[in-house]
Amino acid sequence: MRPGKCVVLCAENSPDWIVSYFSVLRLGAVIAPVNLMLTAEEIDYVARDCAAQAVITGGEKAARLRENFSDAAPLILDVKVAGAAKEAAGDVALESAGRSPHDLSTVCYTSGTTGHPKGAMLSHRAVLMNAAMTALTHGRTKDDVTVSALPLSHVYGNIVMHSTFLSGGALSLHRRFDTAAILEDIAVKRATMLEGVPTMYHYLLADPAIERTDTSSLRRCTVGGQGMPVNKMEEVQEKLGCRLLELWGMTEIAGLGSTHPMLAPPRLGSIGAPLPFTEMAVRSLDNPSLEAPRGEIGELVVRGPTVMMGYLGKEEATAEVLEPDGWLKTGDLAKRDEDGFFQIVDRKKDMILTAGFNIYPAEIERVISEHPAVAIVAVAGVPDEAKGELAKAYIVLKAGASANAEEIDAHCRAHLAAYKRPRLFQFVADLPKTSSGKVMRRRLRELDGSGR
Amino acid sequence: MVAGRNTVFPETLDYLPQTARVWGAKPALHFEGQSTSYADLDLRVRLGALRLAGLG
Repeated sequence: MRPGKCVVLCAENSPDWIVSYFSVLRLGAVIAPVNLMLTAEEIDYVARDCAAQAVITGGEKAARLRENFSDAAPLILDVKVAGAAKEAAGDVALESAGRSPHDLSTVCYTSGTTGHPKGAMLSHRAVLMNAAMTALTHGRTKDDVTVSALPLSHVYGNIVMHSTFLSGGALSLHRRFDTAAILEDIAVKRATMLEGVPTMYHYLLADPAIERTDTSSLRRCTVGGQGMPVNKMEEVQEKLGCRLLELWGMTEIAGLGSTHPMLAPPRLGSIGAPLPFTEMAVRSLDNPSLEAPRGEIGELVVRGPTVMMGYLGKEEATAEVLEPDGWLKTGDLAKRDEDGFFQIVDRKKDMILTAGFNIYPAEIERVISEHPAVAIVAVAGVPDEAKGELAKAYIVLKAGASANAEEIDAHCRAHLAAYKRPRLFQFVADLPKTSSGKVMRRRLRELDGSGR
Repeated sequence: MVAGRNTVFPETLDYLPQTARVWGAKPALHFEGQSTSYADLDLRVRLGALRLAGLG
């Protein structure tokens, strides 16, 4: 293993993942954590893209990679080998590789909604600063016990791990999300913090066990990765008995960009204020060289020490999003209120254009999720000859609840302007989700015709 | 002039030696019924790094 060279880490949550991750960094090498759901071909692409000297993975995936890897394959290591067991007693001397804060620490691959994923290059300082400021803002201490089923390879799960360790707290890590296991863990470990994406909280709310679980030890929970309707967040706060702190972040800034400080008054429905040392602004959609007036929708931009160094080997893609003066264009549509709090409206690319109107799936989802029979909803645009696109709602009902399209439509008529109302409704058993539990809007169309 | 740096708060992601010195036997990680202390986690990382260094 050579300092400065990449090692790809592709494994499920476990202590071996954590040991492998820090072992690579101990050697001064660069870590590229990737989503476990990637296929052998996709890992092949990532390993080539970052010129990996090794891929650390586990079980069947290791065997498949050995079979499928193209020429010039890096070493394929099993995560259980790299994540060495504690079989050697006594002190084991190992000199530090002596990296500097500005050196590359991580190549973090974006989801790649179109084409190949891009590797965001993050310095040691970017990741560490993000974790430290997150820990500070959320008031973490050595007494915290944090429950998380977020994938460690994802930037959110990664920052949860670092901010726990930097504070001297304990991380109660789950291999995958399971409502019963999470609730039991909170009660047994007397957990002080739970971190998750909205879908995880939707499932927790739908589990009757939440009513009889002792969650009195929780001091706060966090939610991020996607927007969550305010009424659902209020329900989480009521059932779990603590504040739910929203956060917003992205791979290209090593984690969080904004959140709510523990000390600040609650303001549900907002992603909060920027982390210390981070600047955020909303650019006018009509004239991106100007800041949008307060309360108006524009593109969110961010600048600060956590911003990536660029996309590995992709100068053109880097120039598209990273400006010479350090501002990163996020692709998120947002507005800023008079007090400096930000609110995400939607992803720019998720906006639906119908008969010349811009409509935002997140707004429709917020309204439909307020219907008492609805557990989860996601909205996507479907092509329409006359109007260009129409909004379609994919709805998962609560267990034992019933509602039909006419009832949901009547609810929308009461709360949404006519042009924003979905014209199509489909009831489905579940929604497609990423490994981190976020709803994948781009895969909703695969559900077409599958429901009722 | 000799520049001084903060020797307590880490400046790179290879910070487990520092946290292990501070938190030692305190649990860092719980996973499926097993707990790992900060000291044990750091020891496992040193062993893991030595293994990786010896490969290839």
